[in-house]
Amino acid sequence: MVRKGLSAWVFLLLNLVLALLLVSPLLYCLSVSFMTEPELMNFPPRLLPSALSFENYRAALQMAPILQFLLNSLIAAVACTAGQLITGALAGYAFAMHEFPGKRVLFLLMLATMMIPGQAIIISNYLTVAGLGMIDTYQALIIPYLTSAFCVFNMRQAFLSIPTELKESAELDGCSSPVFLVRIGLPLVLPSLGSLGIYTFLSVWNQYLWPLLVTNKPATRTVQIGIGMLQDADANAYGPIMAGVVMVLIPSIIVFILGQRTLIQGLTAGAVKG
Amino acid sequence: MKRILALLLTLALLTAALPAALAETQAAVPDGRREVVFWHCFGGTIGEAVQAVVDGYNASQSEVWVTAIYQGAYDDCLTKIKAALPAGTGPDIFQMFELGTTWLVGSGLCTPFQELLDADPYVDLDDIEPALRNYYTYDGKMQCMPFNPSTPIMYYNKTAFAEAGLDPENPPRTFDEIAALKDKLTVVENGRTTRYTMGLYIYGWFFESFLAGLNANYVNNDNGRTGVATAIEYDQSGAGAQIITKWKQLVDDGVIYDYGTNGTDSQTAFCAGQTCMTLASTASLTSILKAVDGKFEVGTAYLPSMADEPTGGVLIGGANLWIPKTEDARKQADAWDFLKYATSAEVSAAFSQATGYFCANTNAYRTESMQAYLDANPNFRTAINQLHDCPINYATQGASVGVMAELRQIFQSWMELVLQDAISVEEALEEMANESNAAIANYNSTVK
Repeated sequence: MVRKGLSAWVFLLLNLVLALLLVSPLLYCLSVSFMTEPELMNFPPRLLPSALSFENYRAALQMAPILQFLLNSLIAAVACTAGQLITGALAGYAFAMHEFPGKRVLFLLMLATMMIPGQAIIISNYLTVAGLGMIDTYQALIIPYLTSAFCVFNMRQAFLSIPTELKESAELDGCSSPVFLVRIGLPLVLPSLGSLGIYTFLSVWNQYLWPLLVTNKPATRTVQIGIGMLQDADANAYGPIMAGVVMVLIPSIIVFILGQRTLIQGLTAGAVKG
Repeated sequence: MKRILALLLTLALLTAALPAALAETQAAVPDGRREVVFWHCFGGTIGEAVQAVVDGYNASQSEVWVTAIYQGAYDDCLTKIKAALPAGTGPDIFQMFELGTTWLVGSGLCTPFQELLDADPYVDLDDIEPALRNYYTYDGKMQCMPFNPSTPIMYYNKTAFAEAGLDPENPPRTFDEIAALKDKLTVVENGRTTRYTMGLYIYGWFFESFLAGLNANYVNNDNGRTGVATAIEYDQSGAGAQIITKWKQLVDDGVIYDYGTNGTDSQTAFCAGQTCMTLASTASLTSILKAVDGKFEVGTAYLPSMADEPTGGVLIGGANLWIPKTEDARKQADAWDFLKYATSAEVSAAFSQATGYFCANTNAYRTESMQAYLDANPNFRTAINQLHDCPINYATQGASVGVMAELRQIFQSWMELVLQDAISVEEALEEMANESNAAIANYNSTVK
């Protein structure tokens, strides 16, 4: 008992040190965001600001409409996440638990799209979106990312873990396929949905090139472009950049904390039960 | 399921809670004005200086309204222009850095500056900085108007020079002279070097400038000016080997501290007094002075030469204004009117003082404000003098090749391996040639 307590403490300490190490760049970023310019250039570098100066935040908000960009990113990321989870769950369910002609070919075709790097088709996507007159709209940010092969593939794997006997017995009891999906299937793959949701949200949140290409006005631009607006080609002021980064990070941290439990469940699902 | 639902609902609520009033962050085009859309590549403090030019124009007349839109840093801006111009979704006027020049000329999507100037000569062609005119003249026509031209210059710590018994008004002109200062400027404390003679980072622009200083071309066919460039030349002429070998020697000898490819680190170290000299753009002057904050006296000097004797050759950087071709003559005239304003003597003098870029329109130097400014800030004069002293030839005209941005990347990645002792200079040059020539061949096959 004593031995177990001791090793638990050692592990806790080790975890704390590692966690601190991992989170230190973020903490330093937070610290820098409160420093004044001369403090930043100090040598040896300072770890903490001498006083909490909100000057960098004021400067960042003045240089780029960060709040508007946060709103735009939130709209795009939430819509894309919802879209990918819905299409992914429906398609994954069909691929895993239904038989239909051409299923194998369709599935392989869908997997094949994962092999094409996004950069290779970004210009042709741009031309399509421009041709449709969708430049500078939320649609341009959202529609191309409403579905993803990665999501479908993952949802299929999740649904495959549900025993077919379960569905057969449900059918015997008169449960239709859509009802089975909503009442039994989805709750069972909840961890997968959660982790995919976080993953999708963060990847859309962090997009840079696509939003830059399809938007021109602050009314539709997203946060990563806002961070770019704080930078210069030949002169960098780190204070405002870090202040901008802190503001942009907050929503993704909230999403992560809210979804953390399902994410961890998702990562370890099946690890013990088999 | 509930958790996801809660998550989505929370986000939806947050979204709704943000005031809708935020939507109107950009000034709308006032009634009765014709809009001109201007794409530029500057964020931060220089972005504010660009906005000041635009605001000044909008206030100066009541017919046209310029909307300035940031489109990412230079490289991203080029990507966007490459996508948007052919698709017909481009701006009415835009800023593009020097490496995009050959592509834009080749595309034929823009109206050459000189054609517009001939129709409306607001500035005498001879009053445009000759080195810039030379650099941006293709097919006998000046293609674009430099908006924020710059050159690399050397920044040095005058206070450290004086303390070491060196003449602070007489900075070194060649890298050999810099190497000779090592014993005087290096500070070692407890076996650890706390101050280096020079700090430098791997930047293709410096390499290209060193080549220009050796009067060596980057690509064949006279830097692509007398015929289409088909291969790089610096691997064949020996100039590439000379520069890379000396660069590596200086790093190995501890004269230069190598900051990899991180320009900001190199600049920060200089401002913190950890290095006595560094290279950077003229446009970094404002931010360097601000960061040094009077801790020591900053001097500026010509770019040192890799040759035995100082040469004075240097390569231009910075960005230019381009006006795309359009059916709408009114639109083009409005964009032209803004270009005239932005590069007029008074406006470019003010922009130059705010940023450290110099003026393409040399009339700017004759304005009272600029005269007074140069007298008060002699450091700004270095870049101007360096440009005036720059010999004009194919080497300083810069390489005309459509994939220059890629060639620069190729150089930088192999140079990094050389400085890390991972490969020899000869091997690196061979790899640079292989990759660069393949990229050039690939580009040439698509435009012919």
